[in-house]
Amino acid sequence: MLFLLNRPDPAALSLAAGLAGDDDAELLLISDGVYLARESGFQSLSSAHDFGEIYAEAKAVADRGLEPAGGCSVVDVAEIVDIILDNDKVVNL
Amino acid sequence: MATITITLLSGAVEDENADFALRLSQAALAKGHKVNLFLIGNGCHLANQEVPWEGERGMNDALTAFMDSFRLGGRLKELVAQGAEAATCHTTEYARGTEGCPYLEGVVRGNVGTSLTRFLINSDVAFTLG
Repeated sequence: MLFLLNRPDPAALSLAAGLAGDDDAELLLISDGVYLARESGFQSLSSAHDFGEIYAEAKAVADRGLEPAGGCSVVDVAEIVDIILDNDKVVNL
Repeated sequence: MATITITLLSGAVEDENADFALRLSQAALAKGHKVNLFLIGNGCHLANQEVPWEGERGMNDALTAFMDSFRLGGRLKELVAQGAEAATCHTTEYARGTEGCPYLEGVVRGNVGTSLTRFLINSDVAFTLG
């Protein structure tokens, strides 16, 4: 299950655990959500849920001039298409 | 080949969801997948043809170029020409007073009960942006 987050609001991730249940969960940060990819925000993502992968959309990261934390994978839209199809279920938080 | 349905609730300028939806759709089409776009809420504004102002615009070239980056109609029209399906929610168009406005070529008037349902039952993955 892939969760999308388009705003820098870690509180929204509180839904992820309940919705994912026993499914593997991944997180994709888009738009202003990519601010959470910075080192200062990344801890809030890791502590919110045990995401298998945390991604940040490349254009949103570049547009904001951000340096994502080491555990965050920066991915372009072509890669995101594959990530979405691999996850099968997508939830926009 | 998979089919992806995106239900888009955002218009062109209010946030980046519409831009992201169109870039993602373009990437999916390029990979040989099928894309459905359901335009609901402010997303329905993307469906309409532009109505250019004929008089003096009062914007310099730099401002015009900047604002052009938010205009997505041409990109949606291109996606539809490449095989994406785009349908509106006419109820949300009615609420915005745009129900009778001409659509971009290839975009169709639709609704939740028929258009979105058909998209969903024929999709491998569906999600909402906005």
